[in-house]
Amino acid sequence: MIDTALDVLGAGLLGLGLLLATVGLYGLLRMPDIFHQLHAAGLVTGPAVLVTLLASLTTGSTDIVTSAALVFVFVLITAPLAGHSIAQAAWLRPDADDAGPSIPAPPVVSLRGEGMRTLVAYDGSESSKLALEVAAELTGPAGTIAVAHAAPPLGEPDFEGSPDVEDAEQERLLAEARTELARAGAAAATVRRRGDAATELIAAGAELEADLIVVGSRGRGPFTSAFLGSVSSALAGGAQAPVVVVGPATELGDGPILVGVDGSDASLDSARVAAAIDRRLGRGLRVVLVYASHSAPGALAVPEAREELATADEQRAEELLGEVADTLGVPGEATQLVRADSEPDALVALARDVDAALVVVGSRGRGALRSALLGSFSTRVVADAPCPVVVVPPGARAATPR
Amino acid sequence: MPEAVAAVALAWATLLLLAGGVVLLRSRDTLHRVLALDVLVSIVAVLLTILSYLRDVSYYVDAALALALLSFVATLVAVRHVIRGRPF
Repeated sequence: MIDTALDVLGAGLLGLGLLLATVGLYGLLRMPDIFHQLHAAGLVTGPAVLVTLLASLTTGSTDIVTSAALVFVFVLITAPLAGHSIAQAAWLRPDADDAGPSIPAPPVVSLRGEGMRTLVAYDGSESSKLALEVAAELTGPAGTIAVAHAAPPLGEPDFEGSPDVEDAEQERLLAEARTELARAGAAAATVRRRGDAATELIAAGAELEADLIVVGSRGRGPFTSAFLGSVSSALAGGAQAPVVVVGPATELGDGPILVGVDGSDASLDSARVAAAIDRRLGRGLRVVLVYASHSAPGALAVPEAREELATADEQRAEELLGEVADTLGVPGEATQLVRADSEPDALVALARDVDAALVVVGSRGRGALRSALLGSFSTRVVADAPCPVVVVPPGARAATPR
Repeated sequence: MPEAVAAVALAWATLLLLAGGVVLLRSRDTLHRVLALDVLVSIVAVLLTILSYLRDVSYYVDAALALALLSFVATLVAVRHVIRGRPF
């Protein structure tokens, strides 16, 4: 009697589960866009699986029931999460064909003109105000500036719980930025965008063919920014133009522009960017090579051998720096050799000593997480430097301000 | 559970798998494909569960768990890729 009842119940649950899956798949085929399809898909990934797993209770096998209970809990948690993240992506992704209510495409502001073209991001924060000043200084009267604000689409709750930014608020922020820039003697166009901030800024930079992208940084270390998704580090990894990251307590020093080189092509590109910026700023360039001196194990006991090794290291570094200077066409007195174990720390210390205007470093174009784990060179300089840091992404458009 | 019931359910789930394949083929862009694959994995999980009822062994359900785990991570990564242009 009990057995028959269990069999009927089991068959019923299986039938119900499969029916739900069938309805869901039918909906998936018929619904017009991804948001509607998500409803249908949710029926398959959630309830259909769960009801099928419930049928395990009627099998009478403890092994099956235990395993099924595990899967049940897992699906109960992950099915809604996966569905939600797909919906969120559909809402946020750039150039979607069906990404929610249509947001009118912002007009493309042209930055044509002589001189440097600069895109600066503004969100009203202290460091973004500093970014405006730095952008005005770097661009100069001959150049053109566009100030951008990117906010998540309306109705999209931000991860950090900040409220929606209305269109009017964006306009107000941009107007504020224009006023600040006008005070610094620069006129600016405005760019208003909706979507993921880093993605939108990269896209705007490419559209405007910007020579520089200037952003404020909240000054988080590499670890925090990897988990909180720092906009500035995402930009430095993906932009097509050099990115000037302006930390919360930084200012353009009175000293020269420091550029760290290691002989690689990427570092030569950084040096060229530094030279291009210097043509406008006129502070002088200093090409810095940081080298680590190795002491072979065993040689430590013999002072003469240790000295010899150190001399050899230094000679090698000197030769390399000479080659770099020749390639770049900078005079010998504009180069500097620093012996230190940590390249980023040495650059930061030197920047403090000479009151550097800017530090220019190359980026290997890693994302935020990987650079946190691998200790990105540029991320560490950005976190500690006393002045704005120019990060040159790989393949940044030759970045030659006209 | 009577074998006949499980066998019919198994056949039904297999047909659903085919329908899921059609959804995947008709998908227009990456997000539709991510969604279709998510659904396909769910159907395979259902299929494995029914198989375990039919044969009266538990390890097919464990396989379903591993599959669901992989699919969840893959969905999140693919979605990040769509938004950011790279997984992380």
